[in-house]
Amino acid sequence: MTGAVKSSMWTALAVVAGVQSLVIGWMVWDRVSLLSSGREIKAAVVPVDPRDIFRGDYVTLGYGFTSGADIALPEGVRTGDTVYALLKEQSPSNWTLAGVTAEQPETQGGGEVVLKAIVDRAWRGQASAQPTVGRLRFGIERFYVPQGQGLVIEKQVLEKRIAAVLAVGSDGKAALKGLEADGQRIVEEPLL
Amino acid sequence: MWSYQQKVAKDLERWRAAGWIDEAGARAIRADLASRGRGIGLPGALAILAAVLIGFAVMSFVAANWQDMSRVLRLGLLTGLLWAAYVLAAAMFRRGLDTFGHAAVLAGCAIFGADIMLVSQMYHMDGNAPDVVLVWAAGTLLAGVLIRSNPALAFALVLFSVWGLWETGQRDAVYWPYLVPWALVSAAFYWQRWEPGVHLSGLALTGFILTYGQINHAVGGFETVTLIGVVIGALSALGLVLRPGLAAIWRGGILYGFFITFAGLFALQFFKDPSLGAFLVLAVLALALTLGAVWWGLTADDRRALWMGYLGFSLQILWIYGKTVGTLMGSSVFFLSAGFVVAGLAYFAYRLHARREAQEVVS
Repeated sequence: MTGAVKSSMWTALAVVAGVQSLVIGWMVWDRVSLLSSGREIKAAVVPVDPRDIFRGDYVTLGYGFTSGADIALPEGVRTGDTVYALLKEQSPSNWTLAGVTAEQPETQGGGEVVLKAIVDRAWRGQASAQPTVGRLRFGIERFYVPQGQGLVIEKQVLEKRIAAVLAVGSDGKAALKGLEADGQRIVEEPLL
Repeated sequence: MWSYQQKVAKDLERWRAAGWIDEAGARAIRADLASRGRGIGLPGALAILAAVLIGFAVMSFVAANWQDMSRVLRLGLLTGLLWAAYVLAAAMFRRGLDTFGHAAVLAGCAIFGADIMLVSQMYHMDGNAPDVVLVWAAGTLLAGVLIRSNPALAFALVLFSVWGLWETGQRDAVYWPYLVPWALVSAAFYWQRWEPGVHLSGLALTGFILTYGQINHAVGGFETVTLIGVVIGALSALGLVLRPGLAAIWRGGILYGFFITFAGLFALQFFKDPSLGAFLVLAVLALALTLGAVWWGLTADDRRALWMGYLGFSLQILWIYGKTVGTLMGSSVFFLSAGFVVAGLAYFAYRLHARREAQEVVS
């Protein structure tokens, strides 16, 4: 390679390394700002499958407000679309789903919160009169744990009332902050 | 490439013994062959494999020692490894060891992907998984374009294809946005004048077209696939006549046209349930197409077309046998008539060939 090509190659490599580092940095900054400034809510966790709650090194978290019946979705929504779920707090840590909309709704007071979700699966009932229903994913369904700690937390999930501590941003994005058992933090992590 | 050199070496011996070329000529030809690029060669291939292994090693090492490190330390380690790969690449390029340099770039892109996944794990991010692959692919494409690294571009296309297939699977619908990055990577391959890359693009697009057919099979998907194949083949043949300067592209296009048309016809015959009349028409068309590919392979001296024709013919025959087995009388009649048709074609081709040779001798 000639000298000129060499120096442009250095520049190219530095730009690539720089941009890729910025992407990683942006991911971290996005999370850290959400975790530190987002509204903190607690939501009760239901074990998805008590016998097989750990796959690898993460806990699968099911949430009371989405488990059970199929969720009614706005008309025309398809799998993979982004929607907004409006939650209402009935009692501490107990949130119920008030409705799902295609556009972000306004919240009325502290008893409500909006979570951004992706439609995991959408389908229409057999009769044409039935609305579109489906399942949602909020991006807070996996809690990664250090190797070996899985069984300890699994036991606590089975024996105690577990709540996930979430940080919710004004745009509806949610991040997992930690886990609580009977009001006590059992897993808490620093921002950095 | 090696087999080609060995073949030429043998031929050179023969031609020299026959007195058609002298020793100096043979030496010059051998030197020319040796000086031409031998692709990436064994050391390069091993270096690239090593890069892939190092990428995996980073993922599992950091993952295994996760809980003993603070988040700041983990982030520092991740970024440090990323930069180390590119500094290594720079050092390799500087020494003129370009293949090793490209391997280091590939390792850098692998570490970039590992970093994304580990940050996701660190902050329990469980969003739309294909989005993560898309970011990874975009970073890799950037590396491929700026550093002009063919292996990184190829890796980017693989990642974009994983993203596209994942989105397709989630939606169970054709995912058109895939065509945007596909076109970008293909343009980069063309800009680099890298033929294997252009072929990779062709394969990816073929996969997309076939996926389209499969998803829309109830509403004429396979018919559309067949039609697209015919159009690609016809346009390529036309291009070969009108713009012979770009022969390599047109000849490639003819192969893809053949492959896609055959895949469409094949699916129409065996994945749908056509009436007997329609099945016979499709079977005859498919067999004619494979014979056409064999003819083209021989006429244009294109061994890829020849093999595709043979393979397609065998596949077609095998599946007809599978479909008609049980009605032994039916299949024996079919094979007998197919045998007669092909024997007739062979005789016709032989006559044509003999006549052309006779003409050449006369002229």
